[in-house]
Amino acid sequence: MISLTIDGRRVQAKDGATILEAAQMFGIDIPTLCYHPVLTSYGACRLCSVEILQRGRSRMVVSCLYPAEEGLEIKTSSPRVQRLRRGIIELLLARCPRSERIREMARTLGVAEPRFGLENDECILCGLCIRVCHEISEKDLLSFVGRGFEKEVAAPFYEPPEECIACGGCAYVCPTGAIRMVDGKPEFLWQRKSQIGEPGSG
Amino acid sequence: MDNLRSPENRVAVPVTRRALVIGGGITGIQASLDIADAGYEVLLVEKTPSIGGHMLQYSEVFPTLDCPQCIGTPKMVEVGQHPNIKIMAYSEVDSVSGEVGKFTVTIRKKAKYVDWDRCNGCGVCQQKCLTTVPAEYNCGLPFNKRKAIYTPFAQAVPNKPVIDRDHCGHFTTGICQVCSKTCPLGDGVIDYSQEDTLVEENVGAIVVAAGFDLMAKGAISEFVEDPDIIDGLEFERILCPSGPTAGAVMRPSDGIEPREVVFISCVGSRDPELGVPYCSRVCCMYLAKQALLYKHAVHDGQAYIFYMDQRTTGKGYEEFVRRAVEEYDVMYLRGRASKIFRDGDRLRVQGADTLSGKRVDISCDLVVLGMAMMPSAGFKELARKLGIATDEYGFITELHSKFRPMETSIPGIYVAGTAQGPRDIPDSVAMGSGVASKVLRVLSLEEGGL
Repeated sequence: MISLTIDGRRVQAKDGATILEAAQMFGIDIPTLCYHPVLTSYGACRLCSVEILQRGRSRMVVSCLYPAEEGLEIKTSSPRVQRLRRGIIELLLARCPRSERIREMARTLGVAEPRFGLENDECILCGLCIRVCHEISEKDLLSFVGRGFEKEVAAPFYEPPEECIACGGCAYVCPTGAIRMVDGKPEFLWQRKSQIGEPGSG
Repeated sequence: MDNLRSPENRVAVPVTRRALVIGGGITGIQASLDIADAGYEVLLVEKTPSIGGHMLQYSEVFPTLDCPQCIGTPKMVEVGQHPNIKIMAYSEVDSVSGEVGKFTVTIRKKAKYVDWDRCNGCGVCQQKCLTTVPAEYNCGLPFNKRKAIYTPFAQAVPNKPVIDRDHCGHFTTGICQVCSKTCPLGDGVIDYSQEDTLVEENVGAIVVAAGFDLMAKGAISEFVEDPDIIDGLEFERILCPSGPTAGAVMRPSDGIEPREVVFISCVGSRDPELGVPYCSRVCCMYLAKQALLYKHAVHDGQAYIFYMDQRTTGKGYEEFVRRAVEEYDVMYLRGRASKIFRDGDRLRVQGADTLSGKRVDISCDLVVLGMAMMPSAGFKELARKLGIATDEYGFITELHSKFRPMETSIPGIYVAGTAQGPRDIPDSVAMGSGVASKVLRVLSLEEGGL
């Protein structure tokens, strides 16, 4: 049992829990995009960032990965946290303005119009589909490809994965709808882009 | 002398030598085993996905503090393996017609979306499922979740899962097929197109052992709704070593180990104005037990019990409560609690201590309410389908309160366990055996004997 304080509330978490798990168990709301209770945490979206106070210093950590420690003091909605969250969602909103999930989160966080030019890249690189294909169907058909601006999710050689068992897990967990089930098989963003003449690259 | 009992006045009635037991709790399990051991076929219908009933949810049972899973699961397995017992889990009685010796029962086998004839209970689907749901078996406590495809607990009999279509990603979004595609036995064992099926069965006698549920906490409005005001069953799940907290005493609002716990007896019971007038019989014992188990886990904790009387009628019961008082410093306050409310991160219980004549105001961390025992949910509907009489609370009305406690208003339909009235485990099990004797009388009569 680990005792910690979240937003002034003392809670007791089970051994091995992360800050996010402790918060969610007791109804403390922390927004997430790349987190799923059944899959391993990855820390891609950084939306779950919280401020922790340790030895008089405060720093930002991602609650989905940071383990609950005895005596930890956590602020889930401090001005610093809110600024970071709004910044992240503003960038994501500019990247995929049509995703309902992103728009709803922006609304909740009080972000209206992004200051950046709008794109139309539905994938936010959360990695959930990759983790599903690794941990659930255990087929490992998807992976991150490329770095930086060119990073995207794809199957080997950008070919439709033959070994896919069509479990639907990737489409089910995708927060933005970048993966859709078409005729019982998943259809990926890279496939749609190549259909409109852009072989692979975003 | 023309006597109704003389041979000329007898009518030959063919007897279907099978029994139907409705309810797979400990009473239904005992009745099924006794009838089956005597050589007759038993159909055991249970509405949840597994037999076992409420007893399997408890932490330790009074007065011996036996582990109910340890003593109950062998009985469950015996039922599961008995050649004369057919378990129909996740099923309910739809309609009944006929009469003693020849009832025809229509049973609704609810769609499980899993082919139990082929499923081998490996559990892979449950691991892979991507949808988590609060667990009814754990009274919705926040400490863990179940999956949309699930068995209610690890020792379920039959140990095969059902899909909760209200939450399953396949039924809600049409996208997910993870369980079906990751099932090691392949396509088809999990079948989303399954529908409820109705089967007709002929039986000679029926046992109603449908059990109980606790009165809802909200029925008593003086006690506000609060995550840390829980009922006895929720506290059982918290105390249970195989429960959602592995036996760690954590309170629902923040997981903190309570330093002071207040137990309140007779909530809803013995209360003609707000609840029911009768006594629920088991709460004095289980609240004492829970206070004792709490002290086992939290050595320097303090337990208070508001009580009106101590009803400790079984073997070893009075001695057990004495132990709680003398060895575990459980503070018994003779009086009722009038108000419970939240005060910051604590709860305040205001009541009376009639033996000292003073009002009491206790600041505590957790309140456990001894809620009244009621017939199980949906019970009135079942009684109506069977055509048997119930009292105004839904408990089955027995034919004679002293000499025919297991017979209902319809010959051939019998009642046992808490479906007839509040009682503890030993009495329920005894009644399970008792009702089996009633059933065996019907099933073993020679042709023309009725």
